[in-house]
Amino acid sequence: MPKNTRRAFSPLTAKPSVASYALLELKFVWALLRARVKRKGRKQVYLFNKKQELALDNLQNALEDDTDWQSSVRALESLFDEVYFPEDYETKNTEFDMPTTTFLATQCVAADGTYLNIHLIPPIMAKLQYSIRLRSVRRILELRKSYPIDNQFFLWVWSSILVMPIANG
Amino acid sequence: MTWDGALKCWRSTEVVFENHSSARLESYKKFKEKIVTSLISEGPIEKEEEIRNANDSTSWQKLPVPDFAGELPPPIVGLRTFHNAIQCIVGVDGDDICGYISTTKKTFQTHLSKCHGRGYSEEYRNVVAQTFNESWVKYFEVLPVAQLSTFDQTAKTIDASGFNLEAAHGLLHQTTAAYMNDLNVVPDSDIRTILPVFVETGIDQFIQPFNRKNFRKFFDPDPENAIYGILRCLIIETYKEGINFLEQRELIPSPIFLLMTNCTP
Repeated sequence: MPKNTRRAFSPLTAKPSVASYALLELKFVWALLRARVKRKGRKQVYLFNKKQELALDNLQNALEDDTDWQSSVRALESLFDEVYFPEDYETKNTEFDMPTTTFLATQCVAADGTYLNIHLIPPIMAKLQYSIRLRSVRRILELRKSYPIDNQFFLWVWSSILVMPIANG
Repeated sequence: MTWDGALKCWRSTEVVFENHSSARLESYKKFKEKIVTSLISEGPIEKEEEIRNANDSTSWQKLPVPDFAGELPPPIVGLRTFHNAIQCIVGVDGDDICGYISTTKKTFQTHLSKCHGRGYSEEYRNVVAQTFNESWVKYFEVLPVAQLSTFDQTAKTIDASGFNLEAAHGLLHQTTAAYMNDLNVVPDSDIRTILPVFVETGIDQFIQPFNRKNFRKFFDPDPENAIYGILRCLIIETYKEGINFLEQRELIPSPIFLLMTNCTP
């Protein structure tokens, strides 16, 4: 039997790791903001739905105002909700209609137009995946608060936990 | 680039690799002189003024492409070949056809709307095309590669029996490896150097319509930008807060935390 190499989701402990992971997220959000202001009429690399466009515009305005830190935080959280956890999201043609997959595709190309060394791509995917999970914590807690205590989903979570093995590192 | 009438193919007298630093790279003036001299000595032109020298796209579009007396020319070595180009065959002026060539359906539809006043037409055919200039494009049809072998029917047939193709490939690789190391070749659909993972995931197809060398530049981080600086602070702060929150597990209902930490690799 091959050894289970799954690693449980846990807080990053090394400071350089936190910085490295956060900078990838910064790169992602910056790419989305730039894509939103990209000139019309040219073939768009990133495609957004209406809610995502609104969230990006709100974040752009909040960053430009730069007066209320909390409103910037809320705008950023709203963007993560729409990009990472969209509700009723319908892709139009391919999986590259989603900003996350589009971002990963763009990261596969180096600055000179060649493909990136294949070994450099998994760390990018891991960092983006970690970002999605990290940002899901607040989202899940908010959802929990907004549903009654006997909600079927959360009852299912309880029952799942009782039968699910726990991965060890 | 000269046309060899005897061999019926284009021959390159100089090969310039993009991104390949060369210690012997000549100045633009000398390079131009060399090209002009070469063209005059080989015969395609008699004086320098005959060389295309359009300063804008309209003048460029009006310049005629070389006439091959009704026959399709073979693909010109060094120019990109568009295998699924679309040629408009809408009739104009009696028996003539429009002949406009585009490489995407979108530009073809724009052409239909602009020149023929319609949004859709089945009067088109797929052709193989090339252009001398990819900024001010004017495509011309060339012969598909598969038909090139019919050019010289008198060519001697080579006896390939007993030929060790694998050994030949090995030898070729061995002899070219030494000077190919520092060449930075940009793969495209014509050069099968793309890793299968990029093809199977659809990434290669997705990025094909874009200019690979430029399309990422617009989205790359810009530390000089004030908005970027603010966003950087915002993300790093909230990211650290998220990590700190995770460290205090008791704040997250334990069933939810366990589900999160066990769901996917």
